[in-house]
Amino acid sequence: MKKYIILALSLLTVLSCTQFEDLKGVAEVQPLTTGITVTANTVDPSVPRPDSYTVRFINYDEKLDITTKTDAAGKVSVGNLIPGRYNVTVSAEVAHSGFTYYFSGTVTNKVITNDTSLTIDVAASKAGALVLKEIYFNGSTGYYFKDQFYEVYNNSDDVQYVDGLCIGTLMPATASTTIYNWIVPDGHPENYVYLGAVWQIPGSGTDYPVAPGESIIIAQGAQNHKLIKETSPVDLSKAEFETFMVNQTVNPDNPESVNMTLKIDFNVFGTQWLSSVFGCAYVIFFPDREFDNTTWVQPDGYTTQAKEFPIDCIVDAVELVNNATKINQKRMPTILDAGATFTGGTYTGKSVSRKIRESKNGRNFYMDTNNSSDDFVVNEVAEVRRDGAGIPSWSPAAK
Amino acid sequence: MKKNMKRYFLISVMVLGIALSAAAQGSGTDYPARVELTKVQSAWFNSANAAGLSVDPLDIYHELMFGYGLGRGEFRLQPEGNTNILDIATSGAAKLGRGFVWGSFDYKNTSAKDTRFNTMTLNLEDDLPFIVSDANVSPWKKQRYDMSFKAATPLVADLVAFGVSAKYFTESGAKQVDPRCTDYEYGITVEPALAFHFGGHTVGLSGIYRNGGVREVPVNSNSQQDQVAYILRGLGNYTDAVVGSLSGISTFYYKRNLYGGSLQYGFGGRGLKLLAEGGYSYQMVDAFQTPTKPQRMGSTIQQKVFGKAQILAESDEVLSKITAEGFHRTTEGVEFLQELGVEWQTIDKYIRSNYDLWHLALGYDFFRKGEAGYSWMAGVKAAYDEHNDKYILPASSISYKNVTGELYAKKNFLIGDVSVLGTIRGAYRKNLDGIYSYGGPEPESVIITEFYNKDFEYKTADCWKAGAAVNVAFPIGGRTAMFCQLEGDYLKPLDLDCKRLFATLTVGFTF
Repeated sequence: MKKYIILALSLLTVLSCTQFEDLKGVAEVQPLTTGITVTANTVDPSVPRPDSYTVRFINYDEKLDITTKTDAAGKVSVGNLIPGRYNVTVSAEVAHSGFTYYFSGTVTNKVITNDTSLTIDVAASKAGALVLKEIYFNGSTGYYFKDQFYEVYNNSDDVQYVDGLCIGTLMPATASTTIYNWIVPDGHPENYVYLGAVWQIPGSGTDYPVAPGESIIIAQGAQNHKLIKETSPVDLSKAEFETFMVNQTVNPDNPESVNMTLKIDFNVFGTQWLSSVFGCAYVIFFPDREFDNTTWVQPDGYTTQAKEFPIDCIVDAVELVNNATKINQKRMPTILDAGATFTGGTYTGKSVSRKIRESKNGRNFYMDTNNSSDDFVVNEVAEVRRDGAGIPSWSPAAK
Repeated sequence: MKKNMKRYFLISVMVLGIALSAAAQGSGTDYPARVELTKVQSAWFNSANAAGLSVDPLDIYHELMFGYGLGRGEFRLQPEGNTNILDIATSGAAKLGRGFVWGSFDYKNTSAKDTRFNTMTLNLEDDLPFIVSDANVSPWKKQRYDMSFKAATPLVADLVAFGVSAKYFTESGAKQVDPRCTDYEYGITVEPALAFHFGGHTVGLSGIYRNGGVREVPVNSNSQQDQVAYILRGLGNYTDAVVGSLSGISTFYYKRNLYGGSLQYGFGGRGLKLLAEGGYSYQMVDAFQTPTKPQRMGSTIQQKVFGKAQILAESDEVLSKITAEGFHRTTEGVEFLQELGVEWQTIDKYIRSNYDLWHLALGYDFFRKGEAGYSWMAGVKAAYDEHNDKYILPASSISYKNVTGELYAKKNFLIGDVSVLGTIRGAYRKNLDGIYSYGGPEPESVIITEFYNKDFEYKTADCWKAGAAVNVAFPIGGRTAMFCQLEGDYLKPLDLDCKRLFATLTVGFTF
């Protein structure tokens, strides 16, 4: 017995010495300064450069959000930073030849522990014509998720045709601490998004026009869910499109709603397309190639399969995570979405939707700065065509 | 674990009951006042050195108590709530051969209502900030078992005695409203000691080692509704969190180790006892999340320097005792910058917060001895506390100074062989200075407006406290007395519209 007591005490002593050694010499935290240089090397020389760029340092762990502006040379020094992990975004807006160009660049999850300097190269893009205006992924009380829907809005001044438009979700399906290092044939994984599910709107190219200020609804199931589940907030029986799974009889087909085509199904299971109620990373895009389900890419060390698509194809992107603590676990390339949005719970009937940037001639223009943290708000109740979005003339909802 | 706890409890009560009953011999009744006086008389019993009991032992005594107490009212810390406590305690001192032993066992079952801002912590410590908080009002239920033991050998070669103190506690508990938790905590303390005795002088040396662990498992009863929580980091700074779903916080666990030692010098002769001691301890507590993939949530490094002096002048009729004690405790809060690979890797670590506490206290007690221990006593105490806490970046600070004065008196009426011990007491706390400055990013958060601001008001309020107790004891055979004690205290701040009431009913035996 004595032997065991001595052994136990010795073991505890050794372990506690290790504990003490671990924190030996730890120093007090000191504020840091980081110098920023913004370049626009890859932007078309014909596009005029902004007078200055807005630089934003966000440390989600510390709730630290510092915004400043560069000088004309694209330089600024940012002080009073707490050592930690930062998302640094650079943005600017320039009007040129009738278009608005958005300059944006981002450094994500940059660990800053010393005074340092960063160079951020920005890209420029015209404002997106089609945007994901509202996403209801959360489901409603009673574990009901068949009422998910996605609203795509024409945020431009021109008619847009949604024939061929795809909606997809990135892998992993839920924000996770698992980091995927994708292996792609050209060795440039940063140029792609990695999709586990893709649905495509059929059409010849001019079948489904969407006028400025109008929107379309993509329903998981185009049914009146208020009648099916009393907790559901939405009637989707007049949705323009539904992600109907063929070869199943569990979920009914609504003949008034156009069935979309399942193009990529690495992350589609069962009798419906359930995108994670914890929040997926969504993209809408017009593909630049034929779909080929026989090839895929995988992350290093994992068996997860996904299809890679160039980020140049992406029309709009929204990162959704479970809650604020998961923003650091982004899947979306920051050039597409520098932030993330969330509802903070599951099966709550809540949705996220874009903020209105301005209203002109009775039409809303929605924020699209490629930063969902800024562009979106959380709604207590999901709503189809919130704020009076228009209905296309060919829609069953218009009849 | 629950079964084990019940087993410990039953075994301990049985063993103590049998052992102490067997020891109940001799003449005279051990009234509660006599037991109280016995504990005051031994200076070394009230020190960190058990070996000193060889030269200054307690009188043999035993006691067994069943108590039920409650605390009501809003003048309190936010996480405290309204409490009901069932307490069963026993202790006793006995000679073992030529040596000396003392032991105690205490079981507490606590129910608290209307607690706030404590999601998972059984025992809150003001210098351990890395805990989880939430704003939901909730009951808590806890049960705790404490066991303590002191033993001293006789003087070997009339020069040196060996001694040891040991303490062990185990506690479990659960918060009752989402976000809720189930907790388990244990702690063990061992204090080996030596005492060299020559002439009327005694020099002592004691060491201390403490090891402890906590495991806190968060859970929601309603799995469809995530609950907002806050991982606190000190002085109102926090990280957002939720309990529930895939993204919720996982099991928190804490590891504690403490080393230390102290020196004592004692003198005894001609009705005079003097004992002075001073010591130092170094403690580290590490907080982690997720045992299968440990993520460091913070650490504290605590250093404490302490001292205590006791002077007792005693004759057959009276006992006077002066006690002076104090400590200076400094704690550094360390936070970690980590990133997740296969496991969490520490990139860097920093001292982000400091917690500094001075505590000084001086007391004087006078006892007029009597047939049932003492016939009356009176005492006075004064204490000074100074807190200086700071969060370094973003800069926040909490500092305040309080002085407290307390007066109390007891009168023992012996009516036949019934002892009626009446107590009156009063105290006043004066705040000398206090400021809470929050420089973090969320000044409108409930963590600041409802938790830290209100706790600061409580800690810095001028307040008075008045209380009374009556203890009726009567012999029931041999040296055994049965007693019943009712006590109550009323606490009222001068400038806040709230109060607090404490009441306890205890039934017990001394023998």
